[in-house]
Amino acid sequence: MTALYQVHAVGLIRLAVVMLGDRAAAEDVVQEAFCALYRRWDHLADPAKALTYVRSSILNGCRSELRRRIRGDRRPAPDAAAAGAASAEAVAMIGEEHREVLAALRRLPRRQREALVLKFYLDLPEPEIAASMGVTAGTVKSTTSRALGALARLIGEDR
Amino acid sequence: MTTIEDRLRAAATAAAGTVAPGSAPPLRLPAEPGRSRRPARRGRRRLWMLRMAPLAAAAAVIAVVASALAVTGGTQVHRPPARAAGASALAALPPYYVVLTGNNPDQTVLQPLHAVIRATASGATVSTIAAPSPYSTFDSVAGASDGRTFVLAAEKLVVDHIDGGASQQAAPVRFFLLHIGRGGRASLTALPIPQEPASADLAGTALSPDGRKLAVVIDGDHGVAPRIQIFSTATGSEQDWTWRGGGEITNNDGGDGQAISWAGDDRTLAFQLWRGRNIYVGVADTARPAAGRLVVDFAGQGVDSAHGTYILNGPSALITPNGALIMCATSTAMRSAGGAVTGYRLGYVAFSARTSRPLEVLDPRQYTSYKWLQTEDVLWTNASGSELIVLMNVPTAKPGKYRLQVGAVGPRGFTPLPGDQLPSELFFEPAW
Repeated sequence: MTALYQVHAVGLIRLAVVMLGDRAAAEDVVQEAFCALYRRWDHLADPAKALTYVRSSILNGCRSELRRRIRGDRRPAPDAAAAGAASAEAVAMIGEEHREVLAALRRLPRRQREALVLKFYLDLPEPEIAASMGVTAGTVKSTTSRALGALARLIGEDR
Repeated sequence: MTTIEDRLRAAATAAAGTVAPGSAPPLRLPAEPGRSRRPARRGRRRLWMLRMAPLAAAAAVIAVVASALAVTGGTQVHRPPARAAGASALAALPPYYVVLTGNNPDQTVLQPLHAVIRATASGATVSTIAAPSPYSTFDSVAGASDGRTFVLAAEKLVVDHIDGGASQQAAPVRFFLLHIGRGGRASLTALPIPQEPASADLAGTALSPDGRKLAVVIDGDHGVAPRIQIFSTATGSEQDWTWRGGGEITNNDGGDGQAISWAGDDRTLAFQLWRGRNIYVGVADTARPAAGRLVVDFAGQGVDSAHGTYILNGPSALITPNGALIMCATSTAMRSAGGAVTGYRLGYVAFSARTSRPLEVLDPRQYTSYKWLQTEDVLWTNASGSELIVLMNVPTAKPGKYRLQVGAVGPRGFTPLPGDQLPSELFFEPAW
């Protein structure tokens, strides 16, 4: 499992950053997901599916993190100043045009947001997106289509 | 031309690029594998997945005073001053509402949902009801206008585990009538409506204001014409209404929020329709098997007005019981001279159900720190649309950050609902 982490940690943290826009929270979510995988490792029906499992777990973790944010009870980062600096640096690295798209993405209902990130950021095939989201492939298709329409409207893009 | 897909890819890649290769912290695992805290999926087969939101304590909220703004008036929106919750503002609301929640809402797991009855004015939990045997979970709830009559959909919770994920298996659905009597005493009785087969793809329910009719959406995905079943709650008799204009009847999320709503005449039903990548709100005359028309067209960039382009910002679109208005949460982008988005105007817009024109904006607000904004919604409307229950972004103690709050919007402005009703839930679909 350590090897799985070494190979995929950065990619999975990136996924969580896209979902959350917050590096520290993204690292926490990925760490938690791997801890959950560790606890369940012996019970996995197919260890080859561990990456799908941990990806699903990260999506769940992102939902929980957003829930904490909505409730306003997010625990402060251990080093708030450092986290703030990192955040400011990250903001500077992302252009205004991208920030607009990302802000709109994060305003989408969560299922639409997940479908778009899995499809257009991770380029996952529909069956794998369905497995990660716990929905049917047909739902992935229709949700993605709606989500693109909603995103286009949010950023005022004429399609 | 850069497509929306290209822009999304580029933005996500830019965000991901802030995480440098090799910068992952070391993995910290617990010393011994402990008891499994299973991170199972919350995904469900049905499109009407519950959307739970936080309802934080009213006292802690910086409430927003709202004002009605005539669209034709040209008044600038403003950031209203804080005010305390007022009992009088809640007096006009239905006495009770019902939310579906699980036993352990802190974990994102598939679990049976039970119905919690709460008093609107106090936020107090009145009672909790489990799905009657042989069913094990409730899937949806819809309310009549008296705040005491509700219909719950119950089914057996059967979970499929797939590749580390899990989703709810299709199962037959039975409808139950929930009546809340004096003192909050609740009774649950099976309705004479035939059980929906597992193969029915239900996308939402709506109970007529007088409680006599239940509408059930069969969404029409995969090339089948969408259909609305209309049942008499007294006899279980059924008539069907079908939309023949293409698309599928579902809400502005594909899962959360109210896709259909009744006017008070027991005949007119508003529905949301997705066709291609555009969403519309239509009005059905259910007395005629296929009579209906699209009223509000959120296609392309949304509905244009003198105040900008309104885009649908919430999963729900409700027709007022008097049949005159369609109420929606909307947002309008504010742009710099160069065209960049500088913020959003959010509010609750009343569209004419006859002409589709936006007539009034309830509680218009302007947000410049838009990064933390979330989807708002209209959850309930009174007969004329002058009083709403909504999901709203309210400011937190941190400048530029907002969180969602359920409250009432009316002539007195925004009043948060009291009580810590659902402290742990992210998505919810309460019914009034």
